[in-house]
Amino acid sequence: MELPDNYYFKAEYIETASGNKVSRYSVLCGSQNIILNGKTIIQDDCIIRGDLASVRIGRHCVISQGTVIRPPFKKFSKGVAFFPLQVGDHVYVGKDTVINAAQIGSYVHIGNNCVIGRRCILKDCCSIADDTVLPPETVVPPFTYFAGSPGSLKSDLPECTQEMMIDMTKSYYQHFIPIKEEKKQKKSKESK
Amino acid sequence: MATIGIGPLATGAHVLYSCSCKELGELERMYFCRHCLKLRCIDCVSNEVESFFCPTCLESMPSAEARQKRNRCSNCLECPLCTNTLSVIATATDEPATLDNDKEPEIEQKNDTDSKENHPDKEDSEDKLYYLSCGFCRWTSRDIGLPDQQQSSGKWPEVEFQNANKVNELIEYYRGVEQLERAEKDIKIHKRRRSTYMSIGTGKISSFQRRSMHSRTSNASAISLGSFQIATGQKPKDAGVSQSTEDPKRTSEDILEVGSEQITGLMQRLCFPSCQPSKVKDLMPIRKHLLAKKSQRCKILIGMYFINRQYTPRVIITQVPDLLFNQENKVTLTIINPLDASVKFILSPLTLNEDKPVPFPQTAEIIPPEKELILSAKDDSAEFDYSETAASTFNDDPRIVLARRANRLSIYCRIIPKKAFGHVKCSVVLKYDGKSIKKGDAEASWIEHHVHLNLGIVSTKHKQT
Repeated sequence: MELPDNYYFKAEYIETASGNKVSRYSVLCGSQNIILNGKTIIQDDCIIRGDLASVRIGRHCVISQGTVIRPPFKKFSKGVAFFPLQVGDHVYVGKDTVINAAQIGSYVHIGNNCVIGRRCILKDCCSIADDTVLPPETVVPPFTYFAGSPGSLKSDLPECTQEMMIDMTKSYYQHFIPIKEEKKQKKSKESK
Repeated sequence: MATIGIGPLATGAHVLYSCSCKELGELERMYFCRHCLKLRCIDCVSNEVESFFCPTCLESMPSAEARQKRNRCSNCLECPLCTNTLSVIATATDEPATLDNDKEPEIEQKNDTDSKENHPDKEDSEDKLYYLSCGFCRWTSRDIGLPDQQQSSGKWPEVEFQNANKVNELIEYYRGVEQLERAEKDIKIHKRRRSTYMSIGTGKISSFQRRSMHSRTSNASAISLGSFQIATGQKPKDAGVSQSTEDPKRTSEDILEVGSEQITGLMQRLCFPSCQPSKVKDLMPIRKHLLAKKSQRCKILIGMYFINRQYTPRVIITQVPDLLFNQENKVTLTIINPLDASVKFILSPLTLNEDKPVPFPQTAEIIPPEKELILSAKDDSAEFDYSETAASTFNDDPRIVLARRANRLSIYCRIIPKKAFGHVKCSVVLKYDGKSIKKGDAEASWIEHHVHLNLGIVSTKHKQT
């Protein structure tokens, strides 16, 4: 089924030249360390901790409401060190998820209410179900579907996962439509 | 089955395709053979294991080695309590708290004092010691009294199977029994063959026949001699009768004494099928199971790979209005062409023989456009082309076609629900020309797939009016 149109107030989002759409209600700490490669959507109440270490997010990603992205740390004899966090292209992250991973590959789908533990590695083309808790240092291999607490392998994904994720993130961006305030109220009344 | 998407949609609308075996499945889970031109589900293709790999360290392993190691990784271990991957943690024995790890200091200190109590002699050595720890349930290898290892990739002890010798004896015994039975069967077959041969014989025996007869009789005698040997001298050694323990050791009082938190759960026991420990202290780290990288091949034309979703036009439900019972409803479907050549297609309602049980019972009538329509080729650059010129060249009928954009075509279909409640289900035949798939084959010009649409629940509005 095709994704329904998703409307937002134009005044609530900042759109960059490369097509990134960042909500004014999100918190980007240390924005000089945060790189968004284009056409990425960051929605309301997201927190990205660029002040701890650099965060690099690829193209066509979707970070949904209330998600926290925080680079992972490691304790050493002389204190704590934070490591940079990399997110690939065409990654979808659901609502209210906490991400402490070291690396998230491309074409990854993360559900709502997940906890991705410290220094987890999510390879390309994997999927994390809603409400999953991945313990620290978990490795999610490609083409697998993880669910549960602690997250464990539940099934495999089809070979066309890459195309599915490209389709999904692109159509999400296409259906993410700016409108003025009055118009949105009208639209919401119509849908009611 | 895992699905990708933003959760299940509230209406539950979805599209399924028919496999050649009549099973239904999502197009994403189907395979398409370029040579048979048929859709096939995972059960209708031959799965071949290409290689094995560990899901944690991602190291691949040849199949011979994998078999030798019983499909388990030699480096990665799992927690016996929660089956999470264990991490190796280093402790410097001359310092009170561990430094090279990320656990809370309180836990580390506690563990360290434990280790010093357990292994006071190790305090002198300057080398680092390693133990295993679960980052999820906080289980450590020290909990079960495993000594710390000198190397990070240390050889962790494996579970000892008490009845290993007995099982090996039994296996040997039954192997002997199998041999004996096979020998007896062989003798019977040979006896029968010999008798028929003799009855057919006319008296004039050629030299070839004589020779073969001789060899058969000598063979039979050899086997009979062998079986005699097995029957008399080399009779398989009796493995002995298994003694049952008269009173089982485990009682409910035992559990009360130990405490329920010390008793293992069913899943924890089944991780060790050979010994099935009943107490938590007997659990050992589990070696990680390997995963297999598989490839799918056609069962009929062996050696041909399947590529799905790159050959079959995809049907998507775009817009569904409130579906009113026994009335015409206008539903929008989008058809996407994955091929890099333009494709003609036609949709027609699917009529099946009512006598046989149908995998997808239809509850509505569908009236798709009768005209043959054309899908333009897939073009990756079309994403950046916002001009409407492409759409105008096709002269689409606005009563049938809602929109055309690159290789996507949105069309109207009329749906008449025939049931007043439940899901609106209907099936169509998607027929498209496959000239670009199989060039130079006139017979293969049209390919047919059965597509099943579930459009969601019938609206209850008609009852109010």
